[in-house]
Amino acid sequence: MPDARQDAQQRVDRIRAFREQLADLERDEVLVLSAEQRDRLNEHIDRLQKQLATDFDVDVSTSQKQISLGMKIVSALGGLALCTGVFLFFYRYWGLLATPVQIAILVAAPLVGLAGMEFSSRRERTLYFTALIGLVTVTLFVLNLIVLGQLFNIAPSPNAFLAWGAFAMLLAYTYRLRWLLAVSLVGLAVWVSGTTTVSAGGFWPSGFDRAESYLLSAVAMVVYGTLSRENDFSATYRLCGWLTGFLALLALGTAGESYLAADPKIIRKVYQFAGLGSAAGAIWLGIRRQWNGTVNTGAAFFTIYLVVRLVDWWWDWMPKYLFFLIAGGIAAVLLAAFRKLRARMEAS
Amino acid sequence: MKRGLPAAVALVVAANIVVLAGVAYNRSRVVERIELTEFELGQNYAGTDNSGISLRFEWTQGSWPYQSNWLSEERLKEAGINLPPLPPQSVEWRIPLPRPIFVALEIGGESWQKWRDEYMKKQDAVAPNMRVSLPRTRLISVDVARNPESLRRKYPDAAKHIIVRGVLRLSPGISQDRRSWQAYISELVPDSIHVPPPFTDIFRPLKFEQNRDTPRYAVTLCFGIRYEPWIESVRRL
Repeated sequence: MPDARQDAQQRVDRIRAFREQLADLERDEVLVLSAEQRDRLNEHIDRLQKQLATDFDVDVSTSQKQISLGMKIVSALGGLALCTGVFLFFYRYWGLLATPVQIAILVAAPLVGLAGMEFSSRRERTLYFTALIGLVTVTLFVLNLIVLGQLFNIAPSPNAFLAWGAFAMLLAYTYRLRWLLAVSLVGLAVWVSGTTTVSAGGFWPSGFDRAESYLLSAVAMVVYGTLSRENDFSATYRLCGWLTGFLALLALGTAGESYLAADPKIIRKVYQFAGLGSAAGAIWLGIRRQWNGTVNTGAAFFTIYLVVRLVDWWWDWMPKYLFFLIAGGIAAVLLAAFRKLRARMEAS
Repeated sequence: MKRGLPAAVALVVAANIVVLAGVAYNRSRVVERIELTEFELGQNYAGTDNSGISLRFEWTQGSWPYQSNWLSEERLKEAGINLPPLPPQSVEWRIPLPRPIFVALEIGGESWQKWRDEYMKKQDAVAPNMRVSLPRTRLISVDVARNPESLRRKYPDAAKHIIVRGVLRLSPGISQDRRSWQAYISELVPDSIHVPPPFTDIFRPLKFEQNRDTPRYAVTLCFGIRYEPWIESVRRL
């Protein structure tokens, strides 16, 4: 449903743009419709917009869009406040409950969340509130296992992330919710990292110190997002993969420790160039495939990598005024390059 | 009903069953039982908004300023933990991954007494006018190993030594121009113990205090097959 709604909203936006453009052409006397043509056109467009608004709950006018955005912000903040209140309520009275009652609440909470998602999905077309309830449900499942671990003093394990990731992915595919897919991919990436660390004989939370353990997950996400059938989920796989990979390379190129048995300084240099190279590669791939998200992510991280390198190479010895002058010049060159890229994407 | 929903429900139920089955397995046999006082199991500060109560392990590694680290390379090799080679002079140190290990903690025994005496002697020699108070805990780490069985064979008296899970870390050390790896136990796992009802009734009236002269309670702690602890009983002192 979210796919279809997005298509419908895009169509409504195109119709609105068409109307505005037609008005401009008529004003400039380039194209003037007869009264009959105008009436038929308006009747058709009005009927189409009404149908789309009825079927997909899309915003027909700009002011409707602004109100929808406002509603989304208010409902998100309200939901967050409600969840915080419920959490703090339990935090305050949790210790007064008997252990079996605590266990029952922990197990029941995500199940109630699932029921809420199903109830909401049957009553709304856009699945906006279903997505919010979904995020809360995943949070409840995370709390479920964390608090159980605290109640019984269990030694922590990365396998909890497998359960959380799989849960979020099930919900993402059941209700076609991209946010939940992103959450699931993060959870599964942490599980892969923790399991890799345990296999290497380490204490699993130290996987966060070895960002290489995230590169495999990043590559898998990008490859899957590239080769799978193109839809909104494939874009989410790619975006999560790029973000995971770029952040890992940023950590590895600055202060992170590595699994590789070589001089850490040399390893960091290799990862610094790998970061710049992969960001450039992402931009190239995004242009070829017309993936705006990939181009923007690649461009953003290329800029970040460059800034970090410049600071690392020049900050200590270069006069500060010269550093900022050169940085400004580089920014101007990058802006010109991105403008060319944008023009090339528009042309294709 | 959407097809994925029953699978999601099953996953929640299955995950909880796995966790609770693990708890039942851990508690199916008590491998250690020890009584510790407030000096060894201090209260965690909770605040007015948090009604949960937990205790934290208070222990010492027995390595203070002016004393050499007992976790020497020989001791670690004995425990089956090999140190990585030292890097050449101009090359940066590669910090190895922290490792999960088992730690033998002695309770108020010879090692603890020896550590206190040695520390006070060295303290007097180096800075006699400086007033220092040692931690009141009687728990001191005396050994490490990769598995608990080898530690228990070495320290068979469960009343004097408990075996707990911990994390071993290595950091570069330079002492008197001599480079070496410095090993230390960064944390015990878990380092906090949840207090279940009805034992919470004993702790609720107690104010959070540190540096007391006398302990106010004693806790009987059990460890199960997976060396995950739980509180068996609590008594006021």
